[in-house]
Amino acid sequence: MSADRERFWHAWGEGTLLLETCVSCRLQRLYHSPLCPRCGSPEQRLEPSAGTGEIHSFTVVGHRAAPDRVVVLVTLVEDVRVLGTYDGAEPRIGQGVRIAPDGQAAGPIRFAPLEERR
Amino acid sequence: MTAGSYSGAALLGAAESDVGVFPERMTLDLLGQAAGRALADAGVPLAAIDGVLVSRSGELRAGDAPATELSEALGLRPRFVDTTLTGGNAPIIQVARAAAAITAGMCSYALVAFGSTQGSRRLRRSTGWATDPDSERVQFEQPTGYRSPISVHALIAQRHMHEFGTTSAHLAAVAVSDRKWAALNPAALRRGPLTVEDVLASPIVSSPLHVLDCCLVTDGAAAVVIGPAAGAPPRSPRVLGFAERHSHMSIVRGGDLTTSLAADTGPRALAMAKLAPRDMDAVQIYDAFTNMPVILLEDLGFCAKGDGGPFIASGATAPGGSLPMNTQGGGLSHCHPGMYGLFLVVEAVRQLTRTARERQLERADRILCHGAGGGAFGSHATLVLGAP
Repeated sequence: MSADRERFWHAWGEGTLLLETCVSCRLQRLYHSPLCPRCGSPEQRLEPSAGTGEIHSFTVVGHRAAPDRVVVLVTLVEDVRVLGTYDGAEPRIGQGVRIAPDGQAAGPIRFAPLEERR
Repeated sequence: MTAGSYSGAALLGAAESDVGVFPERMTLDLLGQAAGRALADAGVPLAAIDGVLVSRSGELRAGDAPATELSEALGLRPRFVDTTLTGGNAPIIQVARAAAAITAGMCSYALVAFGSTQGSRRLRRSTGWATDPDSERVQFEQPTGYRSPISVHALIAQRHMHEFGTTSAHLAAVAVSDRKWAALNPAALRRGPLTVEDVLASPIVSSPLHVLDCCLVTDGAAAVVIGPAAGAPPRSPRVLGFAERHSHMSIVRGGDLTTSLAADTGPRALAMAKLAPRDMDAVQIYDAFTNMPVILLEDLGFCAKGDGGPFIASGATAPGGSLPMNTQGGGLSHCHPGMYGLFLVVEAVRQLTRTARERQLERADRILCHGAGGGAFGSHATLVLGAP
């Protein structure tokens, strides 16, 4: 695993979602791009996401031996898409969400409804 | 490229192997059966083949050199090979590659083949192919519990419903349309009556997609023989237009989920052919999941954006409709050995050469084939075939 990816999962385990950020033009992304897709710069660093966004689409996946999983495609406020799981009642497109880390330094990225934040 | 880039070639023969589930047969044998039938259809001897184009085919991927492996097994020593790997549309791209290679003089007679025993060997994992532990698919996507590629298309379908009011009944109409055609094709594996209610009553795999919104998982092979246009029979189909575009493998980089790159490849391929959607007598549209033809018919210009569901539900694509689609039954009812692209071309050739028997269309002079691939609808190819 790359050093940046190790840092990413370590940070997720501590409760932060890091985004790869172009040093030159500030374009942000979740997945690694060796050259910035917008400006071509090879320089990037990991920066924390605000951790909020909204559900762009969702699907409830049936499993024979386990409970159904709600898989969500979230658009973060940084305009970055993330595929993750959702712990909440009826998901709907446009629903505000926040990251819901569970202390595990591994996937999936988990989300919960924004309203539940206290 | 212009149409002239392809004009030196003609599709001389096309065939499928037996399709179904065959635990006792190898991919290589199915490929050989399809190739033998296509060569016989073309009237071209095996030894004349000097171009071999094979995408990933079943167990023919030990060395990731499937074109060389098939050549070795058939005793061929081609001077042109291609192993394009873009998903299920790859063989459609390879038909254009072969026509361009022949036109450019890189080979004279090309065999485009695809086969797999995916149905009997259960090669595909429900979470998708990727096993590289460093890959983002493994680290981010597989742990969500999604099914790949079904859940990706479920996300796309859900968004299309949200934006355009498409319903599950609209999606089901795609499966019903395919089934009506399959009833006319003795080789189709699902031929019994099917209603919208049947589709909606089948179990949900990944909402909003039901089992019957998803393609079959079978064994099978297909082959197309392409050769010089000079001296080819007058009815032998030509590549009138072709365009491809590729953008992403992961849904997170998919941008606008409900408009695909078919909105780019369709107009470009038709412009090359100097034709419009209304000039097409039929279409062959990749249909691994029912949302695909809905979006693709919109993006290719056969109906307005957002109207794909009502258009198909009106019966337009079924027997007797204004735009016959997937006249062999498609991947939903005919067969689907993992990559359906070449089967779309085989059926187009049958219709264009008036050899489609019970399901032969009265008018079949120009047919548009569209293949989508990439696992997340991020790879597209449009091929317009017809008489010169």
